Amino acid sequence: MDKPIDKKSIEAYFRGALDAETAEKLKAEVEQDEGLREEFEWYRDITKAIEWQGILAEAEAERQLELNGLTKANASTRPRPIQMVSNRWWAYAAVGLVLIVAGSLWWGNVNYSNLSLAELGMDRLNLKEGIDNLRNTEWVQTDPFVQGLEAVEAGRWPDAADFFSGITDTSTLFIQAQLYLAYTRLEQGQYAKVQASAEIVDQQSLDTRQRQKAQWMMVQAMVALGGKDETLDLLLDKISIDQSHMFQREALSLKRKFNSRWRRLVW
Amino acid sequence: MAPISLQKDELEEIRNGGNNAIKEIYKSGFVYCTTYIIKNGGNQEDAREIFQRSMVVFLEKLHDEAFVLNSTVKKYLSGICRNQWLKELKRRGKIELLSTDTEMDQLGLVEEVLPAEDETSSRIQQVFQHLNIGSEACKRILHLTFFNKLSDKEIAPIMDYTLEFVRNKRRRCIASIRKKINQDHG
Repeated sequence: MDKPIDKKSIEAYFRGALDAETAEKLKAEVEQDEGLREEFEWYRDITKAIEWQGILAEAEAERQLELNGLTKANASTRPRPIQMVSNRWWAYAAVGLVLIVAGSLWWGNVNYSNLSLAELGMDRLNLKEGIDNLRNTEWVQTDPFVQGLEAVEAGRWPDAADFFSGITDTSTLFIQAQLYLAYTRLEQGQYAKVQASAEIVDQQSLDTRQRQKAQWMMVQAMVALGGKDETLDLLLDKISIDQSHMFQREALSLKRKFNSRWRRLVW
Repeated sequence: MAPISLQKDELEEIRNGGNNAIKEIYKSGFVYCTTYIIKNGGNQEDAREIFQRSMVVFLEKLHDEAFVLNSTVKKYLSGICRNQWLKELKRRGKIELLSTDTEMDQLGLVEEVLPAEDETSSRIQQVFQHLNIGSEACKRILHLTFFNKLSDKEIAPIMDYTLEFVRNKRRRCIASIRKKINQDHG
């Protein structure tokens, strides 16, 4: 037997607790019964008021959340007050330290590396300018020495090396050719090959200037190849105490640079 | 705030119980209404209460099939808000508004667009007001029942009540509201 429609049924209807069939039956009876209709309308109003109260409470909560989110977003985008330098001294100090270290490493390597030091006195070797003096003598274009000089003038170092190395010790220009060969090797960065030619000049040349140039090229080659060692020390000492040596100033400068603290920053 | 106009589909959504549209109206109308009330002698709590009442009035009108909105939602809601605050001031015996109606003028709120309201509140409005001043326990149990549509079995552990007490408590809460409203009508 069906349950009769009463006030409890109406409450159940608005709670959504009635099945569809009973709900339809309730609606039909409400139409017929004024007492039930009044009760139905009362529950309809209270349900509506509660539903709206719930929705508005949710809307208020969402509004508050959005407001808080906005406040936080504003706070995060608001320009931050400038902090006193003293509060961030460590940051500035760290940046400064990094810059100093990086600058020092750069400076040390630019000016105190082996290759940089090997450049010292290069301009005073003057071997290109010496070629003009040679032109005043008999100048035979087909002569390997002349061709070598022309290759030096043109900066064709491999060609120059070929011409000079082709001149044997039977030639009167052998010593001069060895000097230019050493210079050519130096320009090519073939430091290991500089030594042999320069030593020949240093030992056999009767020209003091040529010997001094050869000695300095040996120094340059040794510096470029690995820096300071005993042979280099001896040669540098020899040059630096010789007041007549055209590279004395460079030798003293090189010794100072070898002892400089900047050399510790060189890798 | 950009004026919002209520499209036909939005109106239908609200009539069909669409919560999101109602929430959007709430959020967009809140600032104006509450600012107006605070400028005119109300406090934060008054402003929130009056705005919620205004929303209920507005929702009731939207649910009226014969209702046609000839203005923007903002203007209309602001008009209701003003009327509600006037009504509250009258009830409190403070008829004069403390500030001018400059804001209303700026909105172009002339008499013809202001909603004409009955002096008496509808039953929904009365229930709404009594719900707000009722006990928290009543508010919660009615909310769980009619808004969240929870069964008594689900409500009992939430409220820490027995099943029977949930039923009794709800009935007592509803009876209490009903009694107060009847007393108001005296």
